[in-house]
Parts: sequence; C-alpha cells; structure tokens
Amino acid sequence: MGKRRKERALGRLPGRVLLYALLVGYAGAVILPMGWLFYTSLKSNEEIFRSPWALPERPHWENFTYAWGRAHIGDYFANSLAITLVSVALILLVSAMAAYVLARFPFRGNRIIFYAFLAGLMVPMQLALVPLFFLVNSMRLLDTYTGVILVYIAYSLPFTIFVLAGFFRTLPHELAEAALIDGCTPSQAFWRVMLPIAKPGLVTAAIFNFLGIWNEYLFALVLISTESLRTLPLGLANLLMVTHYESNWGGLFAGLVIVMLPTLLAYALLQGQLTKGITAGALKG
Amino acid sequence: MPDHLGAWMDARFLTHSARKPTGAVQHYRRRCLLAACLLAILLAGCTSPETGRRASGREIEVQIFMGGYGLDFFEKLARTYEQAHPGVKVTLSGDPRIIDKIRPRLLAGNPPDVFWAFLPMWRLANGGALYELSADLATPAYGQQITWRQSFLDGPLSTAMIGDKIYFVPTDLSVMLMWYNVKMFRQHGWRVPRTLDEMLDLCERIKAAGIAPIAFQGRYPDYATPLLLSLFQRKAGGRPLYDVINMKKGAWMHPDLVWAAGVLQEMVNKGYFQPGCMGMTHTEAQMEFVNGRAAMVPCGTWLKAEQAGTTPKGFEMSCFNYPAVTGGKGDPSVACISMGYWCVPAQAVNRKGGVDFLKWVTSRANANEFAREKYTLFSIKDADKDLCRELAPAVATMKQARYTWAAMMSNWYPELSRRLNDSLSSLMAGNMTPEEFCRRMEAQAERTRRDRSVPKYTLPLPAGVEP
Amino acid sequence: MRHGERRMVVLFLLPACLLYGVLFIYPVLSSLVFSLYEWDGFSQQRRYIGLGNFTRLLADPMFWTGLQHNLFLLAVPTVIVLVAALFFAAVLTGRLRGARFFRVVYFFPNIMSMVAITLLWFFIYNPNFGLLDGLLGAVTGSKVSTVWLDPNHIMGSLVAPIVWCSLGFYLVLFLAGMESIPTTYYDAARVDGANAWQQFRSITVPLMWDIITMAVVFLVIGGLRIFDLIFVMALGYPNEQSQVISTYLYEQAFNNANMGYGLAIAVVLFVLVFAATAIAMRLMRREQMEY
Repeated sequence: MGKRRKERALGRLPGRVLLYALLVGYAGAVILPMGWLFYTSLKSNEEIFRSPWALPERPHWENFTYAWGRAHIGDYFANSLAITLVSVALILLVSAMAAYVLARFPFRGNRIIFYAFLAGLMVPMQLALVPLFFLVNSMRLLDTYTGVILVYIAYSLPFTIFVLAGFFRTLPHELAEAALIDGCTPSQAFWRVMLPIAKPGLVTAAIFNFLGIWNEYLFALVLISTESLRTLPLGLANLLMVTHYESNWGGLFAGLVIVMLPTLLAYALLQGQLTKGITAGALKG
Repeated sequence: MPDHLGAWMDARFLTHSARKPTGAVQHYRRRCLLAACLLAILLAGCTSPETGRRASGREIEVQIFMGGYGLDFFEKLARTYEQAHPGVKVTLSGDPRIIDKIRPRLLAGNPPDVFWAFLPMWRLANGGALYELSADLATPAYGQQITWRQSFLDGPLSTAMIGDKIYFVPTDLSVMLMWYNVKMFRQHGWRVPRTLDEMLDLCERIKAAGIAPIAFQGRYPDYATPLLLSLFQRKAGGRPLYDVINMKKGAWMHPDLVWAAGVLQEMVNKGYFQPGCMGMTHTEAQMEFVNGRAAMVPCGTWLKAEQAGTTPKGFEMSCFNYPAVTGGKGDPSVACISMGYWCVPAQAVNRKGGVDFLKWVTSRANANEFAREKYTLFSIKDADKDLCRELAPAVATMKQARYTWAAMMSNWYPELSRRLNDSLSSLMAGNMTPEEFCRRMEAQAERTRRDRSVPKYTLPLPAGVEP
Repeated sequence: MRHGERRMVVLFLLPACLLYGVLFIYPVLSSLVFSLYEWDGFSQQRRYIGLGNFTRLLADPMFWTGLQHNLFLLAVPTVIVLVAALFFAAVLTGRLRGARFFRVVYFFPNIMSMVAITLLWFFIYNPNFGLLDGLLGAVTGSKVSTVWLDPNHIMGSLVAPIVWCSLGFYLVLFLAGMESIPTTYYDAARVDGANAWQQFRSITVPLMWDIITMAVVFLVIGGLRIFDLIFVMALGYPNEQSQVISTYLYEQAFNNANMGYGLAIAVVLFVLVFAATAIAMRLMRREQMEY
C-alpha cells in the first residue's frame, strides 16, 4: 500500500538527481552557517578578521569561558531556564483548567469568554506593551521573575487554551460520565481522568510554549532591565552591542554557540514529539 | 504538575466513596490554597529598595552608559570619592542599554542620583524630570578657586543651556575630525590636506594607489554630518551654520549647503568613499581603517579608544581638522564638537550627593586623568595635559579654534535627526540629488517648526562667529 | 448544570480570566485610550487630542514606508516559503533516502531564538568576515565587497533569514497534511493516467487547502508583526530603508518620547492584522472537502 504512493513523486533518474541536489543544497544552507558558527567561535579575534572562513589554528576555548563567565551567558542561561520552566508549568495548569470547562460545559458567557481568549491570538504584542509596562511597574513587579512569569502566562493563554480546548472537545463524554458514576466530583474527574488522556495536547502545548518563552525577546526587553536577571535572548542581543565596543568577536560567537547547543540537544531528543504535536494540531485544527 | 496535584487531591478524598455534601468545605480549602500560592508568588517578587541609605546621604547611586570608555575608570572615581568622603558609598552601574534601565525608574519616580545616558535630555528637562544646576554651578569647583561654571569650556557649556537655565553638564568631549593612517601617508609621501581641493586631490592619488581613500560608517550616516556642515561653514560663514542649527526658516536651502551636499555626493561618485561602506557599521568601517584597507576615516576623537581592542600593533594614526575652502567666508579653524552629558534627576533621593559626585567627575584633575587614560578630551578648561600623541592635533584644534559648534538640532529634535540620517544615506547611496536632500531637510525642519508639541531650543551665537 | 459543576467552572476559569483580564485585556484597552493622547511617557502631563495621532499617522511618510516594507516582507517570503515547503513536503513524503534526515535538519532553524538567528545572519552578511562574501569570494576567486546590508539592499537581504527560519515549521505542517491523505486517491488517479504533477495539483493541494490557508494566515500575520529580526539587525536603530511598523512604533514610543503616537501606531497595526487575517481567509475560502 505504501510503496506505490510513496514512489509517485520520484521521477526518472535525472529528475531524481536534481531533486537530491536541491534537498542537499538547502540542507547545506542550514548546516553550513551553523558549522561555520561553531568553528569560528574557536578562533581568536585577530584570526576571525584575517581569515574569516579558514579553520582555527588552535581551538581558543577561552572564548567560551569569556562568554559563560565575563559575558554572563551562564547567568542568563539560568534565568531563562528558571523563568521558562516555571512559566510553562503554570501555563499548562491554568490553561488546562480553563480550556476544560470552556470546551465541555455550556454555560452563559462560555462563547464570549472563549472568543475573548481567541481574539488575543491576533493582538500584536506591541499594542499591549506600553501600558503593560506601566501596569507591571505599578504592581512593583518590574524587573522581577514574578512579573515576567505572570506576563508570559497571560500572553500564552490564547494559544494554549485554543489548543487544549480542541483536545478536550474531542474526548468522549462516556469517560467523564463513568468517572462521575464512580463517585468522583466533577473536578476529580478532570484531574484523574480527562487530564491524563489529554497528555498529547499538553505535551504539544508545553513544547510550543517552552520554545516561545525561551526565545522571547520583546517583553523581556521591556520588563527586565537588571543585568543579572536577563534572559538569554536579551543577553545575546546585549552581547552583540557590547562586542561593538569591546571587540571580542570570538566571545560573541562562543556565546551564540552556548545558546544554540542546548536547543540543539533538546531538539535532537524531542523532535519526534515536536513533529507529532504539529501533526496532531494540523489534523485536529 | 497537574498529575501531582491530582494525586494529592486523591489522597485527601480517598476515604470518600460517595459525593459528600462537604463540597463547600473542600472548595473553601482549595480556594485558600490558591490564594496562598498567589500571595507567595507576589511577595517573592517584591524587592526592597535601598533608598533609605540614599535619603540620608550615605549612598549615591550612579548609572552610566557603558561604551567605548568602559566602566573601570568611573569605578575608580567612585572609590576615590569614597576615600575623600568617608562614610559615603557610591554605587555605580553601567550598561550599553542603560537607557532601558533608567527610563522605567524615571517613570516610577525613583531614578538614580546621577546618570549619563542617551535619553532625550532636553525633553526630560522640559518635563521637569531634571534638577536645575545654576545654584550649584555658582559654588567652587573641586580643587580650584573658580566656580564650577567657570571651570567648563564655553563652547560645550553653551550647548547645555536652555535659556538661562542649565539641567545637565557636558563631560567627555570629542572633536569631529578626519583620521588618517600615518605610516601609509609617510610611505606614499602624502601630506595632510589644508584645503578642500588638496583633499580631493589626495583622495584621487590614494585611489590610484589601489587603496580606498575614506572608510565610512555607512549604517550611521550621521558620521558625515560634521564633514557636510564644516564644508558649509567654511564656504558660507558661521551665521548660516547657526541658522541651520537653530532651525531658521529656509536655512537648509542655502546654496552653499546644496554645494556642500554636492561635494559629498561627488566624493561618493568618484569612489573616494570605500565601496560597500554604506552597509558597514562603525566598527566594521573603522576596522577597515585600522587594517590598512582605507587611508582615512571621519570620526570623533574617540576612535583610538574605540578601536583599542582591534588595532594591530604598530599602527599609527593621527587626525586633522576638516580642510578650508578656498575663497570661503568661514574661518577654517572652527571645529565641530560633540559631548556627553551627565545630569541629576529632580526626583533623585540623594540630589545633593548626585551633584557632588558630578562635580567630582568634572574636577580638573579627574577630567584630565580621564582624558589621558581614555584617549579623549574633556569639557573642562586645561584638562588636556599629557594626552596621547594621537590626540595632539585635536588638542591644538581646540586651542586654536575661533569657536566650536555642535550639531545640536540632532539632539533636540529626534525626528529631524532620523530624517537627516536617512537623507544622508540616500544622498550617499546616489538615490537623491543635493537639491532634493536640502529640500527634504527643509521640509522636515518646517514640520518640526510647526509641531507645537515639540519645544524649540537655540544655540547661542558665540562671540567669535563670523558675520 | 450538575451540583458542584458550577463551582468547578468558576474556580477553573478564575486564574486564567484574572491573569488575562489584568495583564492582557486591561493593557490593550489602555492602549486604545492612550492613543488618543499626546504624552511623552516620562511625565504625568498628558493632553487629550482625540484622533490627532491617527491623522498624523496618515500623513506620516515614515509610517507608509514602514507599511510598504511590511507588505514586501509579507508577500515575498510567504510565497517563497509556501512554494518551497509544499515542494519539499511533496518530495519528502516519498520513500526518499534520508527523508527523515532532511526533515530534522530543515526544522532546526525554527527552534532557534530570533535574536540568535539575526546574529547568525548578521555574520553571514558581515562585510569584514562574513560567510556569504567568503563563499562568493571563494567561488569567483576575488574579494567580494559587501552590499548586503546597505540601504539599497537591506530589505531584500532580510528575505533569506525569514525564509530560512520559517520553512521547517511549514514543511512539517504540510507533511502532516499530506501523509493523512489516503493513498486510494492516488492509486485511482494513477490508474486514470495522471502524472505526479497532476496528482499533486488535483488531489494533494485541494485536500490540504485548510492547512495551506492556515499557513498563509500565519505567514501574513508574521510579516506584519515582524520585529526581532529588523530591530536586532539594525542594532536597535532601524533607518528608513529597513523600518517596519513595529520598529517604528518602538522608536516613537520609546526613543522619541511620543508615547501616544506610538500607541496609535500599535492600534493601527492591530487593525491591519485583523484585516489581513480576514482578507486572507476570505481569499482562500473554498469548498470544504471531506474524504
């Protein structure tokens, strides 16, 4: 069954060669800059400018110690990790609860609330940026983990509720009914039965939220000004500007590599899940 | 997370097999838990301010821009201040984007005690955010008999005046000049040009030698403004220049300004500016210069300091003031300058301390040491002893200048500055004629003049300005 | 509703609605209000000017330039990404050797931070030691001088990073869609004598129309909202040739102390996003195909 269909796109030999050429070409366009980035991070400043695309004469590991330590990428890494993990955890909690009742319980105002959340998907962040800044400031939460986390949660609600509501809506009623008959309260039915079944949706939401928050720049730029609280994207951008003054280009490249490595690792481990999640989203959405 | 919470809930209610009418109690308990969690989160986020120490004068908080001068020198100043004032602590912090840190604090009403940042100083002053310094300026300067006000150089200080009030003081001083590769000039027998014709001729000869005559920081076209306006001043005299700065109607349409824009464009067309320069940042263009791929580069006196990390050993640089224009009405000794400004916010908790630290930074001894260590000049009189060799022409220029001016309109009117940048970019990329350039700038100036929401300022004409 | 359910509904909705209402709805509504004022964002002084900011916006050449750039970045990368993603997806559903490898590789840029991507491309385009100039130099045998980020070419140069970092996501999306199409259709078509292209055009594309629509909407919205790439590439100060609406908003609100005006721009941006979504969905509307 599969073979026939799968061969339909492959033409005769010259077509196939051209095809492979294109595929490999684009793959190269992805891999080559990364590779160049990696080996340039091991060169000295002077080497970088003298022979930009040659391999390093000897690896300058001190670029990495510079980036991690003096340029504080290590600190920013810790900040990003803490903020992202806490945010994602809380987002899932809050969104799952809301999405569940919105998806399965008809009540007056259900539609309005649901569409209010959805409308948030279309609002550009910049619209809320300025008053949000003043609001967070008046709450004395500017420049704090708490403030950033709460904001990230609030702004991830539209997307996450959208995804999770979709999942919860497809779950069969019989399961919940059975749980209730067994003596669960409605909320117990949620925690013990429905939520575990929605795990694929939760994982998808978790991954997308993790990526979104890990890489988020604009809100972090406005809400965080203390150097020690910076997240990774902020730290990187800052390093770029500092490098224009301090001119440690090797260090900048090393910083970039440090930022990319964990993402690369996570991706290698989770890419199956990721594609499964997008697939599921595509089919259900 | 939800799984654990669910398990916890399960454990609590395991004993119940039927739905209990105690739902209300469970509900209440869960609500309390949630509220407690929220409260804990909120409390954890609150930071306690150290304004208490500042209020009593025992601590001064300083925030500055961290750029070419780094932070170390200012930290040294902080320590020497502490030594000279026992019992007082100076907390200093710096960042390339310090502006992002200071802005929220200004809004929140708890700014640092003294700061240096590229905020719109004039807007801040107008909005009452800055502390007026006239009274303090009348007090004696550190280590000198004269008043603090008298210790400043006239040119720089006049740029900070708003009417007869002054809300910020000029500190590090840069002269805008043309830098050149000394060894390269010596090797080829080239000489520093004294007139525009000599300079154009020189560029031609450099080009013939296969070297780019002038590197240029094309992504920041404002680097060409001193050249443009200097040529204008040398041809037309001082008053038309000040008309442009002070936004007089029609000032941008002066025929000599059109001529100057034309000269600039001609230089681009003849290839005197390095090919590809329009896509280069300041670091990139200046790298071209120190790596010998271009013979000259227009820059402020900060060049040596800024490129210290990437200048190859043995590279010799020096500078010269923009050349004279033969037959022009303007004095060729006139120099274009640029300053940093430090200020004390009106709402600073320790204003007195802030002002005092500012006086410390601008004392002649400290100013001179700053200039010496950081390869720059300072806006204080006689703070130019024993500076590095490369800056000798700059020091001489300052001493010999009939008067000094700064392109203040770019500081006062951000939109005009934007427009100037964009227009210079188009002019030098060949997308605009000199007439169009001037017309565009005049149109923008008119828009700014008409805009009632933008307060207007004036740079007073110096005593020596040519008629 | 059953006993106990009402309480659950309220309790479960409370945290989300509270956070959303306070941190999202309230600021957005505030923006709408502040856009009617003239305010520098530093002081407490505010002046009500009604629609003054909006009329100013209409006459502001920089805004229209920015919009032009947004439209360019909305149209060009969208077309390229759609075509490329569809093409690669069609190719990679087959039993092509290394299909999985390519899928993994192509998606990788998507998970990088936009700042990191911008930095990477900054170096690719760098005039002193950039990769692109280096490659071109190696190929042509002479030193290539840069034009990539200069005023005349910067917009075009921005297309590549956008395509580079979006392609993977849409590739996976389309792959998912394509793989869910039953093979029976293709078998029937082959029996009828249709070739690969015809099969693609008459089976694959129509059945994937919903997904393609979704992709178009996302790409269009992305083109309007783009910020990080431009902002960081311009080192925080985009000039006329690289300005887009969101960076102009930031410049006005934060650099020029025209907060009210910046907010008016934000409101207009929202309206544009809304309109673009509606238009895109309308244009792409077709018969829903069931199978």
